[in-house]
Amino acid sequence: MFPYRYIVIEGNIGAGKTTLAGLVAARLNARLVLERFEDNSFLPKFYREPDRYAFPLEMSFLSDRYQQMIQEFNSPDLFQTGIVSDYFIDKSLLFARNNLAGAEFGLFSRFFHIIAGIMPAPDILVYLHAEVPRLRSQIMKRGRDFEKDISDEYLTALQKAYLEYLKRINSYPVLVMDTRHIDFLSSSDHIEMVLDLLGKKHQEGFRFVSN
Amino acid sequence: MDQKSRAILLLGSNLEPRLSFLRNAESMMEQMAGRIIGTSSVYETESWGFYAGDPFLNRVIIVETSLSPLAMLRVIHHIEDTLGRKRNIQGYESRTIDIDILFFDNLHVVNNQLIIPHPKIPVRKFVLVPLCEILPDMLHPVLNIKISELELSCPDTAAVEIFKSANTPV
Repeated sequence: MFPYRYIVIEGNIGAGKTTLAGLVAARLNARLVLERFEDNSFLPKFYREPDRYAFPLEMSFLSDRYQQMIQEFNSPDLFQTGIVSDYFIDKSLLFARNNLAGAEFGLFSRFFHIIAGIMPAPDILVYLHAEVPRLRSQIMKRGRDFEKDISDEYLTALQKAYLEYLKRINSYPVLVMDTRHIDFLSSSDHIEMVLDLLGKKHQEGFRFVSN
Repeated sequence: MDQKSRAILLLGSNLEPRLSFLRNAESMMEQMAGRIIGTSSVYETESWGFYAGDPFLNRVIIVETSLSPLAMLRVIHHIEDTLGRKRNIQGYESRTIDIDILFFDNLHVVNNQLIIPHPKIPVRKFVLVPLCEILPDMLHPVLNIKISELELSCPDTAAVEIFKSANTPV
């Protein structure tokens, strides 16, 4: 039996979160809970005037994620079967820290903590670390319109924000995996390795795992 | 914002946990292709004849997407590859989830990768019954016949029934 009921696979944009989450869910017969991309009317405005629209954009992402999670987590059988998800609510804080300045971030953060306080925390988080060129080629390959204009600088900043944030988590295990030599879909060994890791008890907090 | 298409898909699984495969495929579809704007009930179809295996669960979903049909096909393959593999001693084996494109707007597509509308629609009860539940008045864009009429004239005799334990909202 796996010791973790609520598993989160995280990573930068294009790191392969959804694929790994899908593979793990299929193997553990767990429920897959994926982030849905709602049409966000602030997004095009944000691209034109980032300073003006960053705050409503981040607030609307937070409320979308909150709504989705509440909906998903309300299924009665959910925590019996186990959950594998490709995001955690803290993602909102992490992105906001990157996109908001000073007082706006302070206000956002207060709202965030009100909401996050009532959400279940993951039992374990696996972070897929990939270099920016690899992220870029994945993003190009999947061809989502709204991701085309993401710059390398933005990906680098997010990378930093993720690692800084994850380093401070100490209430559940955070496993950081270097994905340079990993291809989950073409090699079953790689997915076995992840399942192996998820089958073991780990200490709370941040650590790198080798492959 | 550019115009979105409406893709009508059939999900099917005959390996346990069947329901979980359908749900997880829907979840991946929403993440990778677009919002699901309509779903039929889940139906169970007894299999019969030479290929008899475990009964299938099927569901028709409507996805609002900005993908092209070919891009949608790639997403489908990705989802099938990700979810649809079970371990056995030799490695990966049979598919546990199948996804077919039934219609894509009113497009006619025929090439070596894809035929839209799906050619088996008029002769498969497990397609027509769920389809008829949600889109009885839709015209088949090639045959120009209503789905409800196709369903009535379908030669397939397989028993397709609502799968009761599944039809709570997912």
